[in-house]
Amino acid sequence: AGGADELKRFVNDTRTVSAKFTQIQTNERGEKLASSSGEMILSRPGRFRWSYTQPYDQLMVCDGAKIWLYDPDLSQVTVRPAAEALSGTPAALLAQKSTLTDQFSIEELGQRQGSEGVRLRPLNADGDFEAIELWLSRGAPDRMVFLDRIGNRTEVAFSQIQVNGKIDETQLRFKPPKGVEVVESGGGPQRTTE
Amino acid sequence: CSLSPQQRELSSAEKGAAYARHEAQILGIESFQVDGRAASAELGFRADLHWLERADRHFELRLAGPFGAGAVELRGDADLVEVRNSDGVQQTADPEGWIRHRYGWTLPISGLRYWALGVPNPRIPSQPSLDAQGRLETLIQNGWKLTYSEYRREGEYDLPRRFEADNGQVRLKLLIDRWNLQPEIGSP
Repeated sequence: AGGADELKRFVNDTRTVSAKFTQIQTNERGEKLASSSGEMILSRPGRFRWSYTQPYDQLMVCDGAKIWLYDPDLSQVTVRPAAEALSGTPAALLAQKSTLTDQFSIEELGQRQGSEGVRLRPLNADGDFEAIELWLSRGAPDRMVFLDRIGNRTEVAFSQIQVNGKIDETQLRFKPPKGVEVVESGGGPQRTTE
Repeated sequence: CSLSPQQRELSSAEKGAAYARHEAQILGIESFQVDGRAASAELGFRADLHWLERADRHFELRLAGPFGAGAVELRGDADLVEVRNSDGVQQTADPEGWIRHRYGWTLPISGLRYWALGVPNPRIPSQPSLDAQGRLETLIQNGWKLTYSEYRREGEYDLPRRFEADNGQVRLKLLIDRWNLQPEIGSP
């Protein structure tokens, strides 16, 4: 089964995924910019929890309607519509209903270390990312690579992957803690355009 | 976080002397690297921030959202800066103006090199006020007001961990997670 078939299998058969992840960002000269790790829960379609614990706590929850990003050290929650965030986060990508062919061109990458790969190139040119690699095995993602438009690379590796297990629904909801600023946001250096 | 050794209240003369020593010590830092975060509640953004300051006065600043989304990189010196983002590569002599025009907020780039270390830019006038240990508590310089709320011990230095920068239009919260005071040793 090629990468595209694994992707179809994932889209058709996979309802929930829970896993630990590590994330490493490198620049175009291959120098390491940052590394982080945490846990994620995915409930398809449309909902996920992406929780960093290293190097500091950072929580991202998509409840199907909105994506919440909570930074406890900054006591700030930034929130934006879930639909807007398709190209923004790996979990948003994985949470999509469709096989992504309507938003990405899909190229087979063959097999590596027991998983099948596809390269997704956004059809609209002004997304955040140049390309996204998705490596899957037995219908679940085990690695993702994000290439942004200025040559930096973010690699996310999953471990302890459980597919279609029971999910704690409360983990997929977010209520801003008392006293924390809630801000409509573009999510990155961009701010929302009025 | 660890408070610096002189926890007891200093007299104002002692504070002035402590500040002079502290400032001279910090101004000896010629190159450094900072990993941190910048956020603005009103403008609704939060970005990861990487700043590399070289001894030859060149700097590299990288701002990005989650997973590197919307990344922007600025490289250059006080006179000319190359800006790289999803639109491509451009050059500007006014990086602060460029960021404000493109993103609707800005960062005090010329000042940040000193303010991130907790000292004023020594070449232009400033109005500092000191905390109990003779470190900067607030600083007014170049149209910005800086407010330092947390310091952290880094080797022999007390360096800012948390501060705010406000120029009347933009109010930024800055948080420094990691200092590297020998960035150019071993880097290519």
